[in-house]
Amino acid sequence: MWHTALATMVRNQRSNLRAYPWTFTLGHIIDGTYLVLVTYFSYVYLIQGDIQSRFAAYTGTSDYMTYVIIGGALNLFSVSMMMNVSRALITEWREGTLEALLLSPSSRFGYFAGTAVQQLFRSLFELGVVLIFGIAAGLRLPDFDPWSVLIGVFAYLLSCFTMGLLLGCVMLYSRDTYFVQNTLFVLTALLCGFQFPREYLPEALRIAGEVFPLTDALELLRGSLMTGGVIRLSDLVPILLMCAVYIALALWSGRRIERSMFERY
Amino acid sequence: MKLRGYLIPLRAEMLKQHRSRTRGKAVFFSMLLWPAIAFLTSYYAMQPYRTGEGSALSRVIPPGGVPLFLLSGYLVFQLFWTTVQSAWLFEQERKQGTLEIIFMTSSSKMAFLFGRSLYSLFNGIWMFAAFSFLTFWFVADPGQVEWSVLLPVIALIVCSSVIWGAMLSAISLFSRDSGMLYYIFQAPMELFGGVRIPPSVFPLWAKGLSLLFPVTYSLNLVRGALYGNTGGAWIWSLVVLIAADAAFVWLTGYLLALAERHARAKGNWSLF
Repeated sequence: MWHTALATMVRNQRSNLRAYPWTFTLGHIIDGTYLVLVTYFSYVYLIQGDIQSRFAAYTGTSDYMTYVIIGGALNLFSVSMMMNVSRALITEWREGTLEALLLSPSSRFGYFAGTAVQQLFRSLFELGVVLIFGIAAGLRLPDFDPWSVLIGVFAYLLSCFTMGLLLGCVMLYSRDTYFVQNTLFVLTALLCGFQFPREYLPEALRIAGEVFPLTDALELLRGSLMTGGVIRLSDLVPILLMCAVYIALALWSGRRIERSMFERY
Repeated sequence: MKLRGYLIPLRAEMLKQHRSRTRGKAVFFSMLLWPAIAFLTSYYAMQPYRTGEGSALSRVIPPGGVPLFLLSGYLVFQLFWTTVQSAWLFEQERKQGTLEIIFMTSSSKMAFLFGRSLYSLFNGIWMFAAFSFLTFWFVADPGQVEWSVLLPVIALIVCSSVIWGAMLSAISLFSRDSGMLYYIFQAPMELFGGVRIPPSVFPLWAKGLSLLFPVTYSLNLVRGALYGNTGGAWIWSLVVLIAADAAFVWLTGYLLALAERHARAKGNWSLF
């Protein structure tokens, strides 16, 4: 597994640098910067800092700017991670290398782990650029708990990774990247609470948001970043369980879809 | 006779687009689901703002008017965005070699560009337009809306968006990579055009940027009609939008002639 992961990582890094260097990266950076700008414009010019008191009751903080900028940056990061992991196999298919990959005895999980780690650099670069804009616009983190943040980051990465795995299966099954990924991303933007506390959503939509491990992971990570909330093991258990279900589902259905791919066509 | 010579290629291009772009049920997502969910997300994102008497928001948007404000914003944005998409997809004509064939025929090239833009509009908007009008009916006060102004204004905006799309397509004649259009026009058009935030509260530099997009003027017109507020500034927006439309039609023809002349001189459609 480790060999596969390392080999995939090196190969993807090279092919990325040579063949597709900028389009997605630039697009993500523009989208993320736009979210920061919209927040800044709304807060400073439109409402001049006039926020409901309910907001503080829901979130435990009155720093609206920081709340939304963290949400926007993490939204960008999750889209970038999920997109990069999920498109791996369908890109292989389009480029004609999927057959070779399926015939080899390499570990599939190792392949995905390698893809994820390589793409992490790109996503982090995008995140970094957007955070610079965020800090310029008023992102402040006066008290956070470093250990909890580390654990929160781990949970967040894991959620993105597992959701990307499952998304990849749907893509491979439907032979489509455009509609599948965009539908998921508009849904996560609405349901996971990136731009606003989920308490504002109607009951049904709030429950629908629980389907994604991203929702809980986001809440934990943002909590520990903004209010110094300490993450306990018991907070992590539901996320880990859900991620395990996602991984099992993705590996199981992935194997079946791969098998049927060459029989169908 | 001349009009007939214009309408035949227009219709032909629309039919061609229809055949190559219809993708069954998947269209449903891009036509209704994505814009509707984006609208909902923006609506809930505005929930934490304090509304009601004396709040900062009520200076700009009348109390309880947030849904109507956002809905009109997204409807107009979506009109313009569908035609930007036709220009964005223009690179396919090059890749598939259909551009050369069209330019070798004796049909009107203007009709070709307008046909593309018009089809893109029909294809992209009718579902979201139906959704918007139904919602308008419930959230707006039908007695306050000046329907005799609103309907002609919407017709004018539809024409403007087709003209805008055709002009962007003409610009795409010069480059193989029209993917950049997406990045230039998706987010900035939404922010500076005033879809979510009225440009009247912007600082001066952002107001200047907002003047560049026809979306800004169109939104002024629609919101003016919705709130029954058709004063001097409203008339100005109307004049500017009509003048810009005329200028864009002229520019489209000019760019076409320029591209064609260039191609004749080089004997090759791969301009860049």
